[in-house]
Amino acid sequence: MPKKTPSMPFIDLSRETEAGELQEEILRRLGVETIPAHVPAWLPTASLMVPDEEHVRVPGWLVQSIKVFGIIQAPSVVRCSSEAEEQPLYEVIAGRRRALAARALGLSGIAVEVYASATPQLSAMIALTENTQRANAWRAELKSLRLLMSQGVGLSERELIACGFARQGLEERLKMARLPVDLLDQIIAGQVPQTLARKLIALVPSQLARISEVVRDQPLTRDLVKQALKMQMTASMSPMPTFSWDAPPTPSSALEEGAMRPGSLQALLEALRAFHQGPDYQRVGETHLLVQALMQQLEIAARETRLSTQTSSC
Amino acid sequence: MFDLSRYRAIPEERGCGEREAGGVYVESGAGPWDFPFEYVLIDPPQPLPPGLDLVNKPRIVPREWLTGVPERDACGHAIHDLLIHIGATYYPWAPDYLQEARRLGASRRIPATLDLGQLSRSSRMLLAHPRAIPLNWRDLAPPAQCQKVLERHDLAWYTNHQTDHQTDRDRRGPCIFKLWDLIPSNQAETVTRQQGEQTLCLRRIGSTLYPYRPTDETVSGWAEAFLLALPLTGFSLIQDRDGNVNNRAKEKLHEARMVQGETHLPVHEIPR
Repeated sequence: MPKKTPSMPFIDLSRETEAGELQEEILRRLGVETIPAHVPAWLPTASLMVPDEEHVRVPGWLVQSIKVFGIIQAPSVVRCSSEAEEQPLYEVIAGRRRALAARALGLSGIAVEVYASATPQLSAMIALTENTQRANAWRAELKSLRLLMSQGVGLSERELIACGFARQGLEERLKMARLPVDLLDQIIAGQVPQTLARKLIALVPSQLARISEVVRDQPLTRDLVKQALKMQMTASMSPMPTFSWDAPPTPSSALEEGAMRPGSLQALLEALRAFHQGPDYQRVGETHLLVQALMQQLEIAARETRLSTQTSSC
Repeated sequence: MFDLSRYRAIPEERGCGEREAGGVYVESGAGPWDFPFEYVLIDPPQPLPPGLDLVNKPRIVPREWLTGVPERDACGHAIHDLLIHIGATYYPWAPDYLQEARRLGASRRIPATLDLGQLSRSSRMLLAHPRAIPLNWRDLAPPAQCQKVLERHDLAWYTNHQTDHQTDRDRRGPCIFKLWDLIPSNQAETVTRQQGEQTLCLRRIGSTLYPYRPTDETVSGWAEAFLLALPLTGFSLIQDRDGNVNNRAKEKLHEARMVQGETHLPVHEIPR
């Protein structure tokens, strides 16, 4: 077994340093002494350079959303041309899709956050921080959706998509926003993970009402939801037909009436096989498929009436 | 106890293609059984409980989940059943699978990560298809004959009882045997039209050919439902080129055999 080579930890949290020293160490690794100053500005979209632009996919819903509401969160940029340049260029370090969407819409300029300087490491950290801050955005979304609903602004799924909401996951979010108040409060407060919230929307109203009662006195747990799903499944399934290998059922008389006598079935099958193997069969090509289908049906029937028929492929 | 090793899935071409090396397959072998195939058909098809998603996610559940009553086998172990989805990619129409299963038996691949030891001779495989229930079945005519001879299920019953199915509030359904009638004629390999007779179509799925007579009725939409409750007759572990099988599954099944005793299912190792 080869010896494992120790690798440099991303952030060595095991070192005993003061908080300030820790921050200095992180900044050092990001290639800066302090977080560069950043100011809001309005820049022409033509001056924005998007790294690796050809590999950035701009979804349709984002373009639609920006078209309707504008850019809510300004992209972060850093100047990448010299001070002498009259028409400086800026590299987008976070918010590439927003910048490209603005360009696609033909917007002459957008609001951005301009960083005085940046290193590749710092750019990556800013983009990561933005995504992390957005990770819990689904809760804020639910809160906003509930507010809209409670104020009578009933937007349908189609209307929300027209406003630029991504179709993917929208139905799920709307269902979550319609959950009973007690459950939704716990979700918005961050007490319920998204995976559990997804299971909740699979419950029927009666089960949701039951759980709502329970969570008034205790937090919502995975086991509670699992139990509700189980009860839901049991309640909705009708009894299955039962049978046993060792105790064959009494066949219904109607089924018996419809069945051919084994002897005649076997005779028919043998006759058909003989025809299939004979010269006349070759002359009537248009009947081949029908004969094959008939043979298969007869073989099944013969087998089901307990004859020792050899199944053969046609 | 029955010798289940005589009930095997027939290795002919199927709609879903060939079995894959390293795969673990659960089988419900072809008969002759002691009961007609109609006995294992679930009629009317049972809709999936809300929230149950089986697509690419077969599940093993206690029998109690389905019937509400705990059941134990001859050795006192709790009975578990396998719930599995039949994809419309390889079996666009529910009768495709039903016809093939009737002719060749059933053989379904399952993940080796499932607790295979829970499945025994008492277990059943419940198969669901996305086109099992036509949503507007009440607007459609019942099939000419329900092979399970259920009341209020077919035109034969309504004729015998001189009742109009269109005004019958107690009409039950949908009848599983209606599903054949709802396959469009353009899905057939051959179509035979004879004056005074209903169109006869032949459809092929894998190596299985079967007839149907389309009624050309329009279906507004479909719902997924359980159609078949097949008994299990064994597992097949498919060998790779070197003759090896999925060892994880093999070990699980070997351990299960020790626990289950005479209710265990036979395990076969099959060359690809």
